[in-house]
Amino acid sequence: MIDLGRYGAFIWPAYGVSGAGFIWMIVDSVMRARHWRREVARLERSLEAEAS
Amino acid sequence: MLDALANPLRFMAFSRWAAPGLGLIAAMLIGFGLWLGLTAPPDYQQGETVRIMFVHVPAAWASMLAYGCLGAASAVSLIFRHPLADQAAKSAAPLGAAFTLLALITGSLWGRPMWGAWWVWGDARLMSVLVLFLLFLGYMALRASIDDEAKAARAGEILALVGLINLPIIKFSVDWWNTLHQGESILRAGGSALAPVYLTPLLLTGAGYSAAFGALWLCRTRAEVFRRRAAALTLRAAWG
Repeated sequence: MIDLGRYGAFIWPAYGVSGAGFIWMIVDSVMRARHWRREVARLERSLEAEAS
Repeated sequence: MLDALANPLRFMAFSRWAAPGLGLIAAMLIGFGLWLGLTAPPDYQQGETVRIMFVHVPAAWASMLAYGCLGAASAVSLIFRHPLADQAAKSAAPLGAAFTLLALITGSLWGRPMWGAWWVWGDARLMSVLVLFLLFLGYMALRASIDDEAKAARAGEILALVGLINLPIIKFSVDWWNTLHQGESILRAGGSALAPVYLTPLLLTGAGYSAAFGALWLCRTRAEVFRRRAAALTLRAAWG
């Protein structure tokens, strides 16, 4: 662990918040893309089944 | 390049590998930059708190990049009525808001030990970045408040284009007004004021944050393309 002295109370939260922000952005973006891709696939299958 | 990507099929084929590729580049740049930043010697003036710069400044750069992309995509959508440009504009806003919020929070955590205050009302740089955050939120709220997607897009485009004026205000706020925020220290006449030991990790993390924005922007634009495709298919199914 890097010793940041008394300023660690400001530095580590800054890094923690940044990490949390990145995790939210990655998870939300990937889950959104995955959800709608699956939804498109489901609707296409359903339309194909109706047509045949 | 942009003309070729305007075709949604080509965009989807391109973004399928470009998004994870950019994400990998971002992870490497940010990881290496932060390692260099955390192992650099403490600054003679700011001490250990200088390390907040490696997450604060890149977030601020990414927030401005996101707004620039939102404005550019809005202009293309407004002029050429291209649906993919509108989808790209819509996808940039939440990421821009997130990066701006990160810049505001990390700036506040840097300001407290350096200035003795978490926030300074009236400081031109802080206020112009807060306006940027409100512009992102306003853009998203405006789009969400209009049911007709075409009308929501037009309203959002106009707001995004008007808000572009805030970018030079943010950039030059430290030159035009007396602010507590430190002045321009990288892109300035006479070269960077930062020692290479700080400049190198800052440029690495700055490039990493920009690449991360690019990767996430592509990913969210893909999601938006899929969402509209799903809406079109639902309509087709309803009409039989």
